[in-house]
Amino acid sequence: MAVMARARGHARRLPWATAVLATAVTALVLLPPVYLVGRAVSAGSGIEEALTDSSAVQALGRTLLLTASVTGTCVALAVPLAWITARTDVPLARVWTVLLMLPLAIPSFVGGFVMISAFGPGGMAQDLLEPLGVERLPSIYGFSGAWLVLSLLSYPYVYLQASAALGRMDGTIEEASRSLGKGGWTTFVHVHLPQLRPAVAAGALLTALYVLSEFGAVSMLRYDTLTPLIYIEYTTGFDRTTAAVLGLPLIALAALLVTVDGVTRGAARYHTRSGAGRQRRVPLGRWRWPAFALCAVVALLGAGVPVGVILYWLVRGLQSGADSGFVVEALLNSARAAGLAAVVAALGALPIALLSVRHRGWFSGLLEKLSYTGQALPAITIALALVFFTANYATRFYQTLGVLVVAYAVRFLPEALGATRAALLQVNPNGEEAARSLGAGPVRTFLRVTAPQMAPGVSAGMLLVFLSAVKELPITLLLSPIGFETLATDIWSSTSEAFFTRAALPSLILLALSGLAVLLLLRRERLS
Amino acid sequence: MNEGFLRCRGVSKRFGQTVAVDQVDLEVAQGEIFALLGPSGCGKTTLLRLVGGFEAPDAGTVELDGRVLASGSQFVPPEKRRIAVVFQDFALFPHMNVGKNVAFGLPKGADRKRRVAELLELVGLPELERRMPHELSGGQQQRVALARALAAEPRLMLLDEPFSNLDPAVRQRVRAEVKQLIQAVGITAIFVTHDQEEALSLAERVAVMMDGRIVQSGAPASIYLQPANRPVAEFIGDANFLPGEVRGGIATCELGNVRVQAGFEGAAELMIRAEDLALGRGGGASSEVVGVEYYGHDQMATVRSASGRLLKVRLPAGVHASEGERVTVEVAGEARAFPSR
Repeated sequence: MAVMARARGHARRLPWATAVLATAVTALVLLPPVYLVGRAVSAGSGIEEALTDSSAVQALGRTLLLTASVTGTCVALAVPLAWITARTDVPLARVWTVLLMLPLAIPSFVGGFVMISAFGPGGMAQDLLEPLGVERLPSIYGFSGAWLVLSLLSYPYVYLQASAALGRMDGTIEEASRSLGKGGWTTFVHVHLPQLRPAVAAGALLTALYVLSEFGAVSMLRYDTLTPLIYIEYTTGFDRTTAAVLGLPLIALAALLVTVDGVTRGAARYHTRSGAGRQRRVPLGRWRWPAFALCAVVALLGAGVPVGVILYWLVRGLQSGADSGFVVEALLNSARAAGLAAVVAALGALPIALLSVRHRGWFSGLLEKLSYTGQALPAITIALALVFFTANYATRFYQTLGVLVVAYAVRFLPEALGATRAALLQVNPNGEEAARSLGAGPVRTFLRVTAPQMAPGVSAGMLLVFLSAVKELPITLLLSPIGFETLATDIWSSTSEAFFTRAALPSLILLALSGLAVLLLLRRERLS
Repeated sequence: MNEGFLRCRGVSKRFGQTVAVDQVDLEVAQGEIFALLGPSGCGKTTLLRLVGGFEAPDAGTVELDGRVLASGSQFVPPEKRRIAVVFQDFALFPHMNVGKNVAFGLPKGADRKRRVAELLELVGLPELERRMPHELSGGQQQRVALARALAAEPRLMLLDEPFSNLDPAVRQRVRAEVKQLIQAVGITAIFVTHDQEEALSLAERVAVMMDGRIVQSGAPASIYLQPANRPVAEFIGDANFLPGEVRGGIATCELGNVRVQAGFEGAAELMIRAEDLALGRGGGASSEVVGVEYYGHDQMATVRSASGRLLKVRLPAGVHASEGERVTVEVAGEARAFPSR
């Protein structure tokens, strides 16, 4: 029976309508990188010129430096934090577990806004310190500011993966090591670290892709990596082909990272029993309070400072009686675009999920893998490709809400797909077959049996897409119809004009919304 | 009775390199309760799915009541076959209450409320219409699954390991109830099981499947008493195998002379059922009891013969046998002879 059950997924014929739809969605996802590469290559000699231009070479260097240093910092910071909170008797371990995750909820441009409005010229620190006679603060612009902000915002990617892996680890292996006379530290280095490698690698990949794609904070902090350069070329350059060409190294780097990860991950597989042996927390002894202090400082910098700074400007704005009516329109615009994106992404994810869960095989597996492209691609390249494509081939859609929605959907399809797949895996295929044997055709079976059972999971996925789209900046900047201000674009323009009180309220709303997304993600992680 | 109500001819199905169903011919009569019996992975569930329309055969034809359901050129989808399936896990729709589950397959225009009430009455669950599936016991879920299957007025009902998800304590009772129900409705039913007791007690006819082929089919008694070959004999019941020589209906073997079912001469492998052996305590006892499992209604002794062969002997509950005891082994019934390997 087991043999037959395994064979079943392959056996049934591919439903053609679903396969065609899934292929179409995947093709749409692949359109941006393929088109961008095509366009850049067709530029001929211009490509070489654009790439060897000194500002482009510098930007590429900065991108590599920032990606490497932030990723390294995140690993160095997150692995000890994960071990401390997951496996030691540090005071308030559970509190730290939640607080250390919070920076995930802070969009990078809000991080940039916080940094500038707190420590930049005319910022909060200057306001507070000037009466004390401090006249100059060290500059936050350039590499150090970008590195600090991005490290504090993205270490949770590694932290999340590492603490989940530590939680899954078999406690008896650890006990075996201890019983063989190894101390807590030796056990960590020789038993935990090697087992942690796949999880840390996965977290580091997410961090590196995040930094590659990062646009808001580096732009605000004037550290010109590739993404700001692309944006500047796009908005001010005479020839937009230069912007397209500059997208190539970004796409290549993302592809390289994903490939390297795929190759190395295949090599390392670690077995963890489910219901792993009881885990004991390691007593830290005199290191207990230093560990506590480390958690507190990181949580304060990563989550406390941003919230504090935003509240500071909010109060200042209220005191000065600044107008906040614009926020309503921005919120409605954000909600409209993100809401539509959620629906489109969920619809797009459905045929791919149906195929990959109910008709496993090389074809559905390939479509599923390809449909994750949007997550790895730097967002600005997706936006750029769609700008060019609509300007040249679909002028009716150029600078319309529709294109913005499609770009969001392409970028966040993986989030919808993950949720839809998980929901579909929960539906008993025998129920579907029972419905067929009771006279219901495939469509009626889907509508009456499969869809109602999938609904809660799919809605959770839609909510995730919605929350991600609300805080997306570069796509919104490039593709929004003229005069279409959203929460993200408001924060962006207010910060560039040093209009800090105006950026506070939208930032707070975004923080609350993405805090919700983080909670959802954590719950899903725990469920799976 | 219509002899080939369901008719499979030369049906084959492979998954990659594995041949799951290999040129199977099968005929089931109208109104018959039929069992497909075989060990795990023998292809019986695949055969059931081929009949139900969830798989398409690579070769061969499936016909129901003279209508072709699947052949090289034709394939009738499951929803057009009027063949209901009761799954191992019952597969009730978890988001619908019992009444809605049962009503799902009702033909259009039926008086839904009345039919649902009738069907629930029929399976003995008249008060549970508003319950959700997760609020029911395994036995209740199964009866709802039966009511739901019957609602569609199927011409054939397929049951896939229908009792394996039930608590052993209630399994026997539920089995009898289901048999009564199927007989009362008069529907043709095929069920798949790996449990020989279930197949023999429930079905009017049994087909034994091994490695994708049907190796024997017939009434339960003939399968048990005249197994077609050694694997079937080993799979069903407790059998002992001894080498022997058959001359004129009498076999000579280490247990002495044994009567053999007619139609075999020469060197043979003799099959003797455990219940056809008995223990004696006469002189010259050359065998030794090496183990006893006591079941209550009877017991099974393992005995080492003089030649060192281990024999299974079923003893009545009242007989006393203890480990280490010296005994003689006597043959009480007939043996069956297979060509020696």
